[in-house]
Amino acid sequence: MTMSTDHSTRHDELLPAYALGALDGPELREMEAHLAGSCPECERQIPLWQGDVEELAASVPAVAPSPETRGRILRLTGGGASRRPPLRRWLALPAAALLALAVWSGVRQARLGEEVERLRAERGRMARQMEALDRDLGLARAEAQRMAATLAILSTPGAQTIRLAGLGPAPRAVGETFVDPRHGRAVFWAFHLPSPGSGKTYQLWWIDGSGPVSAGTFDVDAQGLGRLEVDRVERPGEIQAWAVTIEPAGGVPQPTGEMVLKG
Amino acid sequence: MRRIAAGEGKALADAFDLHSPVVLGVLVRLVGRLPEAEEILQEVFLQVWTQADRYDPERETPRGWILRLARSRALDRLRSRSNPAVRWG
Repeated sequence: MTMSTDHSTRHDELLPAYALGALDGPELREMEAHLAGSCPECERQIPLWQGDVEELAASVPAVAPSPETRGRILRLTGGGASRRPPLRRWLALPAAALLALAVWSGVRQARLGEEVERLRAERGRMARQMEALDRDLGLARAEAQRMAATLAILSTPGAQTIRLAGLGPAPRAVGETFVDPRHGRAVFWAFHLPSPGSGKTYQLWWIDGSGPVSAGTFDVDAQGLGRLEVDRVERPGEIQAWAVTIEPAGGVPQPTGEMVLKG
Repeated sequence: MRRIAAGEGKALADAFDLHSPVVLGVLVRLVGRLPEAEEILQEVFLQVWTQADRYDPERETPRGWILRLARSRALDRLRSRSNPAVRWG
């Protein structure tokens, strides 16, 4: 027969959990080793823990709960006052489900709101991109039309190209005038022309036996590129030269400003 | 229990004063620590307050029912203590 270890307070502590099947690991092995021998105290207590709980209660000393614990219980239950009868479960369950649904709906609505805002911002961004693309497309079409007009003149039999050289204020500037003598049309291109200055414009002239004749005014972009289409060139065969001057905005009937291109 | 189930707070206070020393005595013996035993005692009486309509007077006395709730909760606590990996609280 295996000798049992003496019953101690340690065994008192472990016994309830052992009797209720809630011990495992080293503590279970410790109790099993203790009970392998004979322990009258454990043998007396185990049936109590496993049996009728009221009998068990009669075998342990009562312990008064602290006033704090009593206070908490009374506060949780409304301070001892009466409450409305509890909701029946068949009412409480749908109420809980409705509450959960309301919380879920709120969360979902907030998420949907964020998604709508994100999509709205995305739509705005796409709209701005479309506008920019439309502008680029318009510019490209206008450029293509201008190139087509120049090519139409250049491809005309007998077309003339007059090169204009930069003068004093714009020595790097160059110009090209393409003339279609058959139809009396011309296209002028200027390169590397600086801005004419505030309130000023560039004006193109052709010069024949009677003197300078205005072909129109033009502006230049940030790269110094300027262009002018001349729909009616009078007596192209008599033109002796082409020139560009800086004139007051809107142009003048006869040149008054400094000449920047001539050819 | 019928008065507690009807929502009478005074009835719960009376039940607490009558049964809690015995219930706490059992809980202290079960879990070994007074603070933990008092925590369980609160849980038990909250359960009594919310589930008094489940009490069956033909099956057991009010004290027997409350002690059974207490033993069940203490057992849960002991199990979670010995196997902390599955503790939810």
